[in-house]
Formats: sequence, structure tokens, C-alpha cells
Amino acid sequence: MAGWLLYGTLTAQELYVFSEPASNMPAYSNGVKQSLKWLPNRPGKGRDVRSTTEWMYGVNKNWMVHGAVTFSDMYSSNFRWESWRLYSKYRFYSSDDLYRHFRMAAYAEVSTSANPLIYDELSMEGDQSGWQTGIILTQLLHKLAISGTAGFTQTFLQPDTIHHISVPPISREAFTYSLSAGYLILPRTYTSYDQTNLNLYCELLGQEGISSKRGFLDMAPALQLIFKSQFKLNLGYRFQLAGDMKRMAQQSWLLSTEWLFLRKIKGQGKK
Amino acid sequence: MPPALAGGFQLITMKNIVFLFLLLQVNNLSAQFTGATLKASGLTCAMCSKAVFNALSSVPYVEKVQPDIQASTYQINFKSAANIDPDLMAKAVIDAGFSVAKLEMTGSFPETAIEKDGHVIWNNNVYHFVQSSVKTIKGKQTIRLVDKLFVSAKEQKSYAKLSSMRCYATGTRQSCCPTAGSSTSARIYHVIL
Repeated sequence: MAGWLLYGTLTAQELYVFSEPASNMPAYSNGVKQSLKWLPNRPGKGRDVRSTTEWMYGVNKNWMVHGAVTFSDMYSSNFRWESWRLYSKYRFYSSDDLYRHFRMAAYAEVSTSANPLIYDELSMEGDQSGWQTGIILTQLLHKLAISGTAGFTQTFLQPDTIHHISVPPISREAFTYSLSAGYLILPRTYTSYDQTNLNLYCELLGQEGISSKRGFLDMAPALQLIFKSQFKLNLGYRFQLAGDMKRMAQQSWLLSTEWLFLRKIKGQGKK
Repeated sequence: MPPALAGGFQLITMKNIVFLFLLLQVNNLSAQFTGATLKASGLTCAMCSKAVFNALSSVPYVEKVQPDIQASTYQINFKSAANIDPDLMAKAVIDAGFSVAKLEMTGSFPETAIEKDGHVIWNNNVYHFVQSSVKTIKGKQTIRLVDKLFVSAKEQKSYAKLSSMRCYATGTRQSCCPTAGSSTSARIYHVIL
């Protein structure tokens, strides 16, 4: 068997499209994810696209890191480099049982972006420079996986108050939260690693500016196909249910592909 | 005199005398483990099962792994004449992100006397039988490992009741254990038939 194998990890129905589960990828394995996000119906622009290329690595069984670079034309007329970001997640609690588990993890993320702060919505996915931290709780119950996240986000930027006036001003800090559910639809019965998996997701994603008191709540349904237990294809649509934040867009589409490379575990020959 | 043994003499009870008796019986016997059945917990999907499968396949003494994805169970064949360290199978599953719910190992054994809380040394590994039935085994047998790495948290509590000895909690030799054939911090695998 080759040293590097194209096999995936985690529990499929908790591989959320818009959020992270408390589970990690296997130790010493790598993943690469390519995402495209686009905004429909923005007046005066032909397209609004963000491309995110993300690398993921399982440092050990509890700790994983991501590094990502984004390119976009969301804040510019031409498609250009937009941001870097670094994400780290540590699983600090794990309780496994047959076909179920409960896990808790803490995460921290820092990003540096070329964009100004002109919207209420804070995001480290390319929109602004800043950092965030939070806690994730994930429960797997056979074919259903439920996960909740609570976090704090702060931008390093000062609001552009000359061109973008709002009262009260844009909040530089926000609480973020999410509630995600994933369900394994296919296959009904596992017989081989070559079967295609179909997972259905529905996520609620919210934010509230700490000083502005403005917020939003989005819903994001998504479909996920996993081929040969090694390659993922995700398609999601995110739209606002309620909110009064000034945002670039209240709806977006997300298409992403992901490869996971599970490495032969080092050091097992050693006692 | 090793400190652990000196500690033992400070509390000369019937129990200790039994241990000293057992000590005389402990020889390094040559057994041949041929394979194992491992049930993993904390997962339901093929991707996770594949991660476990791959991790188990990369354990040096493993020759072949036959997965039953639906049952989350793996039939493992060992390489012949390999030195089997069961911890490596647990480490593989844990590094893949999951846990071991059950591990049974099958082997061919020489005639071996089994006592409750007695130690048997097979191929330099120390196995501690925690159940009470006394008998002799010979030939093909399956043993189940019941240390915390190899059972669910719930089961671990019930197995802990079978033995009051501290070595069950730590998985390494304690002052309660017979000393022959094992160093102070030696790994002790707790097993049942």
C-alpha cells in the first residue's frame, strides 16, 4: 500500500459545509479544499466570486490546523488576491460509544485581508483582517450529527466612517453562533468503501454586533456527495432569515471540493 | 531488593503469599497470536471506517484487515511469528479519531494455567486474567482485552469491579503485582477468556 492514500476521515454527516465540527481529521493526514462562493443579483456587477484554497493538517489526534488563501472581486473590479488566514482547532473532550460520540473543541483563527471595514457583518473568510475564537460541541447519533458553535470575533480594522455612515457605528466585535445538523441519506446499508454517500445538511448561522446591537440569522441548506470514501463535493445556498445588519449580500452560493490524504501513521513500529 | 518487592513484604497477607506462589509459576511461554477482531466506536460512516481500516492496515504486525463497515468491525490477520503489541492497534484507531469498543485476539497457546489475578507471559507480554474461573487452556483460544483502551467507558467500570488491583487502572505493573518477568513500569494487558 502506498505511503499516501486518498482516504477521508471524520464522520461523514458531520462534515458540515458552512461550519466546523468538534471532531478532527486523523492524525498526520492532510486535506485540500477548493471553494467558490458567489453572490447572485448584486446590482452593477457582472459577478462576485471568491475562491478559497485551503490546506488542512492533523498535527495529532486532538489538534489540527488550516491555512487558506482567498482571491476575489467582491471588493474590487478585478479578480485579485484578497486574504490569508490561519485556523487552529483543539479537541479537548471526546466520548465515544457504538455509532455515536460527543465531542468538544476550541478554535482560534486569525486573518489578514486587503479589504476595508465597510459592512456590519464581520467575517474572517476573506472579508476583513481580524481574529476569532470559540467553542464547538458536536453530537453524533448514528446517522444524524448535530453541532453547535459559539464564538467571538474582532476585526483589526477601523470602520470607514467617511464613506459609510451608520448609527450606531459598525461594531468591531461580534458574537457568532451556529447550529448545524447533518443526516446520512445514502447508502442505507454499507457494503463497501466504493459506495457514494449522500449527506443532507441544514445550518443556522448568526451574528450580533456587540456595540451596534445589529445582527442577522441565516439558514444554509446543503448537499454533499462523497465518492469512494475519499473525495467530497459540496453545494450550499445561504440566505438571511432575519436581521438588520448592513451586509454585502443576504444570499450566496457555495460550491466546494475536498480531497483528504490519510497518511500511514508514523512511529507505530516503535514501542 | 527492589522497592516494590520491599513494599510487598511490609504487608504480608494471605494475598501476598498467593502472589508469591503465582510468581513461581510465571514463565515466559511461547504462544502464537494469529489474529484479532476489533470493534471501533464513535463512527457510522464509510469515510471514518476507511480511516480506521487504513490505520489498522499500517500496524507493522498486521498482514490483512477485512472490514465490516456496517458493524464497525475489523477482522485482522497477523503476520506469522510477529511480536504482537496490542497497544499499537488501539493507537491506530485513536489516531484515526475514534475508539476501540472491543478487541479479541485469537492464538494458539501452550498448556497454560489460568488463575484469577494471575499473570501469564506470552512472547514477553504480560497478560493478567481478571476473571475468577480457574482453568488450564491449551491450543486455539480467544482472549478479550479489557484495559481501558480496548473497551467502552461503561464497560471499563464493570471490569474494574472484577479486580481491586491498581494495575487495572494504570495498565502497568504496580506493587500489587507479581514481579517475575516484568520491570517496574512494564505494560500489563488485562484479559478475560
